[in-house]
Amino acid sequence: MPRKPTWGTPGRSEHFPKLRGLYLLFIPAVLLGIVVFVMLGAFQTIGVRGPLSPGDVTSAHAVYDTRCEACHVSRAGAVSVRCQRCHDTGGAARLTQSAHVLFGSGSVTKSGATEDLQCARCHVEHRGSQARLADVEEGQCLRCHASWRPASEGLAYRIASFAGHPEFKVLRDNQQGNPRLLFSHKAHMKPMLKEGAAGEWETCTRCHAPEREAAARDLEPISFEQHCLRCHGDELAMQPVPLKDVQETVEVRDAGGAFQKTPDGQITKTGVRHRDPWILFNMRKLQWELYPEEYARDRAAVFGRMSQLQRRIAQAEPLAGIDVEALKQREAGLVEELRRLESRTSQKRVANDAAGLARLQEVAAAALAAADPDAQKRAAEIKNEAQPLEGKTVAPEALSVDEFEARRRELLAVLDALGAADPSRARTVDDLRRRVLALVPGEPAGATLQRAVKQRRDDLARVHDEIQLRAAGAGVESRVLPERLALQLDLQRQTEQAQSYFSFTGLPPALSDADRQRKQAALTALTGEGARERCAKCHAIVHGSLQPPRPARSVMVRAVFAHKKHLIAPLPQPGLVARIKATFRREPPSSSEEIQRRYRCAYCHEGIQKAADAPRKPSIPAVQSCRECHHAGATRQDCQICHRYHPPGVPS
Amino acid sequence: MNASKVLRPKNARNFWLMIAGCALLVVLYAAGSYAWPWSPKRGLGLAFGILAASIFVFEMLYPFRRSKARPLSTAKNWLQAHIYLGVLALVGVLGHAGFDWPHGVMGWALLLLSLWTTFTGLLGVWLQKWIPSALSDGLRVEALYERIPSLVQKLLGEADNLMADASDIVERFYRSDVRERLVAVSPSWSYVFDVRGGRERALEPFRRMSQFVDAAEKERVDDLETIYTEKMELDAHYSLQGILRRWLVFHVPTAGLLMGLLAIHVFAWFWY
Repeated sequence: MPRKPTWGTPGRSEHFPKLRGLYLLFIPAVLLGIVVFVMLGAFQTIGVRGPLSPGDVTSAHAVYDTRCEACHVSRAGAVSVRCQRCHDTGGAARLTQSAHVLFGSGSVTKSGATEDLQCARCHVEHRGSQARLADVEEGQCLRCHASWRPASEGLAYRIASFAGHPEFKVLRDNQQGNPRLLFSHKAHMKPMLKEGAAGEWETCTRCHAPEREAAARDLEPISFEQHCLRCHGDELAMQPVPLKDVQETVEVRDAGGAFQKTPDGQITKTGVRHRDPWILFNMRKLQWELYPEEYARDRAAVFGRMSQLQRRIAQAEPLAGIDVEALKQREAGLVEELRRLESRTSQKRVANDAAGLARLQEVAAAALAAADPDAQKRAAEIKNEAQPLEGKTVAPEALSVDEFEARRRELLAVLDALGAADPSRARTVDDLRRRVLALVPGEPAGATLQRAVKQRRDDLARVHDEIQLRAAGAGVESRVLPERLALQLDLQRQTEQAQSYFSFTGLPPALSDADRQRKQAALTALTGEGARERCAKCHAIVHGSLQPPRPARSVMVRAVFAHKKHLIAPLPQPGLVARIKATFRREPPSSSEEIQRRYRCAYCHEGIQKAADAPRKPSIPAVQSCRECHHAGATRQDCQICHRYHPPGVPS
Repeated sequence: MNASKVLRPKNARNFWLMIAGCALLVVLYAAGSYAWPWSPKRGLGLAFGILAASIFVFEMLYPFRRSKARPLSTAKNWLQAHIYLGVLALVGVLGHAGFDWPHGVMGWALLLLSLWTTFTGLLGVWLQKWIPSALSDGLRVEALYERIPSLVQKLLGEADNLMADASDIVERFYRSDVRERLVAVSPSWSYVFDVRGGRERALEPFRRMSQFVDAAEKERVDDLETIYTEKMELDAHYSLQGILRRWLVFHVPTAGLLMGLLAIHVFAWFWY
């Protein structure tokens, strides 16, 4: 009988088959996981942290690649204080969100109310060694500035894309700048074109030459010696002035030139040059005698700036480079400073809106304590004026800007007199001067004080963090503040200016009408004030006050524009839609004439060649003209290409 | 079994729920990354990470489906959840990373292990659906994997008994050409492509032999042929069931490794 083929299961098993274990793979897998966890944990403990890292840090941070604690704080993440340890050693909180808001809005109140952001929020690390930390995702800007954010948040700019970018503020608000320069483009360009400059391009670039370095982005700055001296050198010559109104020789740097005296008691200086120290010295001398308030304001501005710079430089000593003892001293100093500030904020008189009253009383009290009778007299006057304000709520807008500035000048003059009368109070005067200069019209003093408290708290937090780091074993590290050199140079410049031109202190002697007239004539003879000649031919001089020119100041405050790039870059292709339209209309995409037209300076600065004066209204085109090239599919159009988030390192 | 049948989900509702879940995650990512800067450390990015990590922990509990703790009521439900949530977790991982490439060793390890574990899991699903159906469609014999070696031994014994009083020529044929193939299970990858693969060629010598022997011996050769066929089917069973069991080696340990790295990743996020 043939064997039957098997269908299905071939018979019952003789014994129970041993099945695979229930957790045969699961238990080794879990053990493997535990081993990996313990192994990496052990690596972390002994300092081998590469495997734990979510990615390589940028090459600039490579030295911290395995020193997580250099940036990270346990259970707090990559905190800003650790970034500021290297990047904002000056403690100016320049890189914070509140600094950004202050930079953008100019409002201390808005800045104080803003939420603080960690640096790591925008500057994302661990994206590989080649990544650029400065490249911030566009969404970070739109987080606040997106068009769908409610208007109630008070942001002036709410945009979804560059297509929706609002008109430039200067054009939108029809702002008038003050270039502090009397200059006619028309008068300068016409003869150049006549003498045969090869068109507009050459005419403009004779003065506005693109910077020569390959990496340069903008145009060379204008200098008198290079651009103006050839034609205007002779116009600097001064008229004779009475010898008794000027000081013949002064100890100023590189005074140069020679003096000629006439028998009728007049003196002239030959070989006057641009920024001539002798002229500037005597201009300030005459200003002190004729317009003491303006002199005090200018002097205070210089001394205030010096004091500000000294403070910045002193604070700029990196905490990482200080030993623990010095850190503890700084901590104690900050605690004391904070205590004093907090006690001031808790006082009712400061908490209410009677802006400046407390400060006014403070200045008056300091002046009264001085030995100088003039200062005491002025202080008593201020105190009497302030008396009726006590206990009253004064709205910040109660003072107009002009009135506010007048009060400020008055206060600065008192401080000036006080400093001169009692040199032992120099530090107090410095501090008060800085604080008076820091006041902003319409800004409640309470907000300013709150900002100061916040700054001190932040400083204290940084000192605490540094002490904590040292306790964890971090050593003293030398750090260089990138802007320190610029700050020091600026301080040197200010100090020289103060020493050379602002040596007159106290109140000037009283002048008779005849003396006043003579001295005013002398001021005109020296500087051309009121006659539009000599210095005043180009500079705006009012009451002996010559402010340095600041062209285009109102245009590019929070943005950068690289002229060079725009002048030499090839014309971008028109966008897809424009190309399709052009194809249907049978139009050439762009002719060479069109390219030439675009690359003329006048394409953007239309009408500048006809301007008879330095433009008070910005000579820039509307934002629409930017969109000709900066549109989707063509040139970049993200926020960062023009806008700066952080205020500059060296404040102007 | 055709491909469409293999690819057809066992429970269409669960499949479409998974597709909807994945689509929802992608839409959430698209909307979230448009509205805010995407970061795995906060907001939706972090939520994606937490979702993926939670699902991975649930996935790791899969072996406990057989015990009394059955929150999902049946092992089948648990398996369905294991499969579909696993896919959802992978989308969660990709979303957590912002659909971008990782930058570090840890990031790459986590991403690759997630991909590997998910794809080996899906391969397992396919094997679990395809192999049993291929075996039942193509073979007569059914056998538990663990029983196959003893069944093969039994067949060898049966063949030896059958050949005990066979003619010289048949016995020689058995000893030289057949017996050594009956001694032990012979798994082969060729069964993956065809469960009946190579059978006709292997049985050809039996057919030739039966032409040269008398009727009594022919019946013996035919019986030997059925034994040999049965052995080949057991080999196919052993090969394919072996694959069904061994694919887990590629799935489970990597899942454990992934959990270890995930624990470190969570610790690093919490600590740093």
